Amino acid sequence: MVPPAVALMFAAQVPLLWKFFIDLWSRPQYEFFPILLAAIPFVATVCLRELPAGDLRGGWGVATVVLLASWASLALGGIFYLRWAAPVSTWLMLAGCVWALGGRRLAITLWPVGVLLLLVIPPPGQYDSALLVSLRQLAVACAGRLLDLLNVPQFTHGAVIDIPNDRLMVEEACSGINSLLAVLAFTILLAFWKRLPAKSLLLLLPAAASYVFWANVARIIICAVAKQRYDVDLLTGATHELLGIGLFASCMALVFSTEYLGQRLWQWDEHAEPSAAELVVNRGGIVGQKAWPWCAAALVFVLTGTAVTWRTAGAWRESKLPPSAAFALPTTLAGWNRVDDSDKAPERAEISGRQHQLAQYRRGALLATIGIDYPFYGFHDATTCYALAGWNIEDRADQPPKGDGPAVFDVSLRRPPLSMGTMHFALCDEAGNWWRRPADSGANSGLGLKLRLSRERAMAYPLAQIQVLRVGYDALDAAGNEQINQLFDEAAKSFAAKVKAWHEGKLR
Amino acid sequence: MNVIVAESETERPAFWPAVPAVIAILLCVGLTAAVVWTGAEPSVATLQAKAAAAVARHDDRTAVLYYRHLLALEPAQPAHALKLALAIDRIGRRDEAIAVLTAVAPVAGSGFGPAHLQLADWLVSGLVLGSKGDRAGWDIARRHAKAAQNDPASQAAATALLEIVDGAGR
Repeated sequence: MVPPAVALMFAAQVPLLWKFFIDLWSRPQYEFFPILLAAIPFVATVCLRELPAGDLRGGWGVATVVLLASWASLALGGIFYLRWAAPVSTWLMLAGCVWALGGRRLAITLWPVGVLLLLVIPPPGQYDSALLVSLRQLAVACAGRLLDLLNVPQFTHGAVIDIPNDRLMVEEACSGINSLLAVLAFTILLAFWKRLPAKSLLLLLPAAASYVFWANVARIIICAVAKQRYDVDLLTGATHELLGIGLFASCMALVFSTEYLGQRLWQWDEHAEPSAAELVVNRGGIVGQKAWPWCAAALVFVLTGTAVTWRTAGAWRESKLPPSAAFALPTTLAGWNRVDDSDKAPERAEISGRQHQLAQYRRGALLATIGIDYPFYGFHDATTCYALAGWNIEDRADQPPKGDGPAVFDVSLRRPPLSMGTMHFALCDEAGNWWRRPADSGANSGLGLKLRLSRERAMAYPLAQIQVLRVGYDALDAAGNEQINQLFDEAAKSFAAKVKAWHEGKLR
Repeated sequence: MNVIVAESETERPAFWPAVPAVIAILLCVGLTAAVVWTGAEPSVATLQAKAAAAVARHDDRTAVLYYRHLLALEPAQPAHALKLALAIDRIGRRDEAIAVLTAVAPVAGSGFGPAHLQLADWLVSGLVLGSKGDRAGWDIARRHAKAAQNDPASQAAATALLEIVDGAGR
C-alpha cells in the first residue's frame, strides 16, 4: 500500500511543481538542478548502505505533523498562486513519508538527501536576487581596484565599468552568482557522495565560493583589458560563453583538488563501504505499517492537488502578446515628435523583457526615450535595472491612478558625475488592464483579502511594462516635467489600447 | 632473508593533485589582500595626476574618464567640471561640453566664474562664425560674461568678451 500512496501524494503536487521547475529553469543560476536531482538517487543508495542494523519502525506522530505542514503548503500555494510552495510541500511530504516508514533512524540516515533537495529550492522573497545584485557589484568593485593596479583607466559604478572608449555592463553571468550556486551544490554533492566528514565542508564551501568569485573577477578584468587595449569584445557572444564554461570547469577541478588536499592534511577518510556480510546482517524490514493512514494521506493530497491544479491551470502561462514590433508607437505623441536613431538620446531606457522596443521623441530641446518590454511575472521594479546600470535612485513617488489610468511610478535618478534623469513606469496585463497596488483599491479589511487574492492571481499572469526616460545635465523645470508627464500618459494610453486590441483579436 | 616493508612507506599517496588547490588558495588570499590594500577608491590626488598625464599625452578620452571620476568623488568642486568639459570639447563633443558647464554655471544663477567665462567664449566663437543675427544667443553670452566678471580670476577676460558681445549688439 505504501508505494502507491506515496506515488499518489507526489502526483498531486506534480502540476504545481512542474510550473515551479519551468520558472526555475529560466533562472540561469539554477540550471544545475536537473543534474542534482538525477544524482540524488545515487546519494540515497550510498546513504542507505550505512543504515544501522535492525528493523525500521515508523513514527506517525511526527510524520502526521510534517505531512500536515506539507498539505498546508500545497494548499497555500494554490490559494495565493505561489509556485515556490510546491517544492516546499514536496520536500515536507518526502520527509514525512521517510519518518512514517523508518522513524528517526531512517531520517538521520537520509539527511544528506534532504540537504541536496533543499539546494533546489530558492529562498523566498527573491533574496537570492538581492544576493545576485550585491555579488555583481562587489565583483565589479574588486575588478575596478585590480584594474587600477594594472594601470587600466576605468571608472566603476554599480555594475558598470566605464573605460575610455566604451561602457561595459557586467551582466549576471559575469557576477559569479550563476556558477556560484552550481559549484556550491556540487561541492556538497561531492562531500555526501564520498561520505566525507561534515567538517570537510568548513574548508570546501568557502574555498569553492572563493574560487568562483575570484575566477569571475578575473574574467571581468580580462574582458575589460581586451576591450580597452585591443578593442576585442569578450563580454558577449560565444567567446563569453566559452570563457564562462571554462571557468566553471576550472572551479570544479579546484574543488576536487581541495578535497584531495583535505584528505592529505587531515586524513578525511572516506567511509569504508560495508562488507557483503554486514549488508546481509543489516538487512532489516519495515514493520508496523498500517494501510489506512497512507490511504487517508493520499486521498487528502489528491483532492487538494486536484483543486490546486484547477485553480492555477492558466497561471504562469507563456505571453500571448506578439513580438514587440506589433506595438509601433505613433510618430507624434502629446506634442512630441519621434526621431530616428541618428539623433541618439544621451542615455537609453533600461529594458530587460524578452520582447522590447525603444523609441526616441523630441519636443523642443527635450529628448526622451520610451521603452516597452514584456513579459514579466509579478511586479517588475524598473529601478533595480537602473541601479545596476550605475544610477542612484534619488526619489520615488508612486502616483495613484487617475480614473482608469495606470498607477505610475515617478522616479528621479542621478548618475555620477553630472547626469540627472526622470523616469516614469507602469505595468499592465495582457488585457490592457493597468496593474495597481492594493492600497489603490482600498484593501484594508476582509474586502482587502479578496483584493489581495485577486492581485496575487493577476501577478501569476504575464505583465507588460512601459517607461519613459529623460536624461540631461540639469533638473527639469515644472514645464519640462509636465511635458514628460503628458508624453508618458499618451504613450501608456496608446500602448494599453493596442494590447487590449490584440487581446480582443482586433489586431492580427 | 625476508624483508618486511611497512605499509605506510609503500602506499604514500602523491601530493601533486593537491597542488592546484594550494596555488588557488594562495591566489585568492593574495587577491583579497591586493584589493584591501588598494583601498575603497583611488585618492583625488592620484586621479588628478592621472588625468593631467592623460591630457599631457593628448589622450582626451582617458582624461574624460578620470575627470568624471573626480567629479563623482568631489561633486562640489566645479573646477573638475570645467576640466571635464574642456576634455569633452577636445574630443569634438562641444554640445555635451556646454551642457556639462551649464550644470555648474547656469545662465540664471551665479555659478563658477571660469565656467561662465568658458561658456561665453564658446558661445561668442560660435556666434561670430555662425549665427551673427542670433539675438537670444548673444544675450546668453552676455549673461555668462557678466557672471564671469564676478570672479576675480576671470574678470579681465570676461570684460574683454563683454566688449565683443556689446560690439556685436550695436
